[in-house]
Amino acid sequence: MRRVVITGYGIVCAIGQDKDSLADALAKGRTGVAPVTLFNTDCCRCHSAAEVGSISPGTFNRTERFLALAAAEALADAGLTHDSRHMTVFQGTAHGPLDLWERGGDACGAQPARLGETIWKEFVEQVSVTTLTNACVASTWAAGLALNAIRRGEIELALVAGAEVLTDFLFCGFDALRLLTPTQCRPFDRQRNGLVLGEGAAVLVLESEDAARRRGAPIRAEFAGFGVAADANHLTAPDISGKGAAAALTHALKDAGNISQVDYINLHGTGTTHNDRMEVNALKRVFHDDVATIPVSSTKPMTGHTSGAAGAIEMAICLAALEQELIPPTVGLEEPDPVCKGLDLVGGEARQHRSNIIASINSAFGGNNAALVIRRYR
Amino acid sequence: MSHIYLLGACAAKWAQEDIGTEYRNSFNWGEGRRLPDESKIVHIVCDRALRGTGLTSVRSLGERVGIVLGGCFGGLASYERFRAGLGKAGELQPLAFSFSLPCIPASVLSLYYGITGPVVSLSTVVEGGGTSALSTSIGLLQSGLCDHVVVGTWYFPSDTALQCTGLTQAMAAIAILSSKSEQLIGSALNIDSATTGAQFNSGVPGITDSLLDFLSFRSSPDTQCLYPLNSVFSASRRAN
Repeated sequence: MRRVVITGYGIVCAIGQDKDSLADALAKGRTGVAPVTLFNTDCCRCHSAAEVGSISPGTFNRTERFLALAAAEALADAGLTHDSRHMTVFQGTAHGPLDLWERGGDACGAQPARLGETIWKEFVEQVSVTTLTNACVASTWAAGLALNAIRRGEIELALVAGAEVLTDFLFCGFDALRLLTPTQCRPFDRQRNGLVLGEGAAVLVLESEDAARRRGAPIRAEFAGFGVAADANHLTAPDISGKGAAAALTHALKDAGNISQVDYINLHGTGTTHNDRMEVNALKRVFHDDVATIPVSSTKPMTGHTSGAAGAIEMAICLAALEQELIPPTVGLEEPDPVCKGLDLVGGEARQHRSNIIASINSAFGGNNAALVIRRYR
Repeated sequence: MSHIYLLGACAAKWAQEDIGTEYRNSFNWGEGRRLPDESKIVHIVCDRALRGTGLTSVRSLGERVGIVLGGCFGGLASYERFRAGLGKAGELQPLAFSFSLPCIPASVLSLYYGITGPVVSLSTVVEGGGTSALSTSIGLLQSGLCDHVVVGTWYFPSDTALQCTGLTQAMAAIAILSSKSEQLIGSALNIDSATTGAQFNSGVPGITDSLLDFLSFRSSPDTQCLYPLNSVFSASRRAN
């Protein structure tokens, strides 16, 4: 089977508008959560989110500006020029460029399938785009499809993208579901009471190892494994047993070469009671007592929950953790909930740690779970 | 490259006002009553397609079955309903927010049929849904992520979709693909060895134009189910 490597990545989120500022924020445990400024939240219970803040103005709507900035950084990071002739893009989003529509733009052009349409054409002559809308695992899934397309030899290079923008629709929707925290997002803490939303984009450049070596590309990591599983349990709530998330993680570890030891896991960690319980059960199903030896954390208290972009953004965070030899903390975690007993939850401050294998898990509305594994390249 | 087989396919179109009755006549499922109409049409068509294929235990299909659904303007009817309540005290419908996610129809199939394998939702442009869904589903089979795939496309004329497309009927088309035909009925079309089809970006040669037409609503009349496969796919079968 062909090995697939990651040769570049770029990111725009509330804690950084490039990979260097992301790494700095992860090391310092800096959160991007602040009072919402993008729209009025008077009719909501909650009033905070992780907004990207001011970004360089351009002709695109906000979602696509995130995507354009992240794509430009990723391509430069991979040593690719903008004049490539053909490129395949796998992108994930929950709702697409909704901000375009909500600010009075063309509704027909604001559908998820139209995300990045203008941007990709600016970068390359011909582009083939697959847009996934699997809610909060959309861009995790996008990465998996790209991985397997390269492994099958259909393509040698792919861009994986995730993008989501905060809108009043999204914010009021989560608020109406009573899923947002009125205080502070603190996954796995005894006092946790909900999630905080975020926004942003991440773009990763995936290549076959042969192609990357042929052109002398900088290899950031190997993309070693991908796994998915559905709960088939409930339309909108996670399966507390953790069976689906455990199956996704198990498949990803098997796909990465039957590995049993992982150095760090970036959890979905939304900050809701249901998700915490589900995820803890999933980890215990997979690792049993060994779970105590694996540092785990959630970075959503820093970036906010970026919905369809979460998978790609957290993959970029895992790459930064690998490169910076650290484990990002679960900001706000002070007193772990008793259900988390036995886990090595990293709270407070980032931990210095040289990881070789990192996993990331995401779960979504509809009972969709996806996991991926990256490995230090040797 | 291993062969991929088409086990059956169904397509149907409805006027919006007929969907509720059709669904009630098709299913006695409590969870189904609150579903948005776009999920109901996908469910009805999928049920017809599955039951004719020879797959057994269709309510517990398990982890070796996947789903790939492509839709344009997915979830917009629910989006419009939720949006209408914004800023009006007591009028927000939380369930409409959940159902505005374009992935809900695929999740409904996963829940009802006990499908715990890969479940993918794609957003497509109107004319490209069949190609994108088919390409992705074949990729899942070839990567070994599952043995069978429920692949389909759907369209629902929400206010916005209607404004953008002018298409007034709700539509769904579902095909069942497999990489394990020997366990099933023998009339399956061997897609891989068909020679008449278009090339597309999954790199799979010879996929039939007729299957793409079927999934893109270009060839099917208002209601059509194919098992064993006949008529629409006959040209491709002869080519085998």
